[in-house]
Amino acid sequence: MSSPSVNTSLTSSPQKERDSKERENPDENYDQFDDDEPDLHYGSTSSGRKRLFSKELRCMMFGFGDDQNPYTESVDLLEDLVIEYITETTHKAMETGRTGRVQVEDMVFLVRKDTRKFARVKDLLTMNEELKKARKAFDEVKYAGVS
Amino acid sequence: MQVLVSNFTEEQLDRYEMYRRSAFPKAAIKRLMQTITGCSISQNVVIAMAGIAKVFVGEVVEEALDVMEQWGDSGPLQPKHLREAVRRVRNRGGIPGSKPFAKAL
Repeated sequence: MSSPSVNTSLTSSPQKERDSKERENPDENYDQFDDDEPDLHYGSTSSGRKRLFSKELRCMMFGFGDDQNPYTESVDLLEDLVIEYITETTHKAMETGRTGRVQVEDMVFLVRKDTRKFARVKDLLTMNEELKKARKAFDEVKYAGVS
Repeated sequence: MQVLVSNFTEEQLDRYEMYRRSAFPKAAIKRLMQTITGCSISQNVVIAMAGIAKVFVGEVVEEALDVMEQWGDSGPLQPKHLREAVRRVRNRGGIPGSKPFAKAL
């Protein structure tokens, strides 16, 4: 099967996305986009910014069940979705608890209904505390040993 | 779990390693959040957000794999599968502030 970048339906770029790319970054090279098929409308957020998570996202997608070589368009779309998710969550967190700031308690509050995310956050924060304690204890032992 | 892992094929081991090890770079997450909020973000928040974002990716990818199977497609995931997956995840409240029911009120 040919590489995905050759498949026009996956790489079409409607005028809307091109305009937003022009506004945000006129120097960006968008020649690679094929506009033979103007049908697909990209998601509401398309970033004119550089790709932040391409490498990590590829590994993540494979880990979660996708092909070993995911389509670049899929990776890009997922990155946009993740950034949108982070943005929405951050904004919501700023409205919760102490407004204008993002605190851990706010984030835990926001995901309380989502079992998976809630459990994961609790786990991560607990582990972090334990690691901090372990490191502190280790440092004290080292310090005692030296003196 | 150990029993399961010890019986993995090579491909399963690869995938499992990626599943465990893949993560969003904390620096990028911190930068992104600080750009959005305009104020400084504590370490704990970055840790929490990186973890939640990974779970989010997992939910979308798993849902997309289901969508792909239902639609009878195969091969790597395509944007259309992901878009449908996000729609479904959003409908069951997987994204804060976007649950349609709440908005309808």
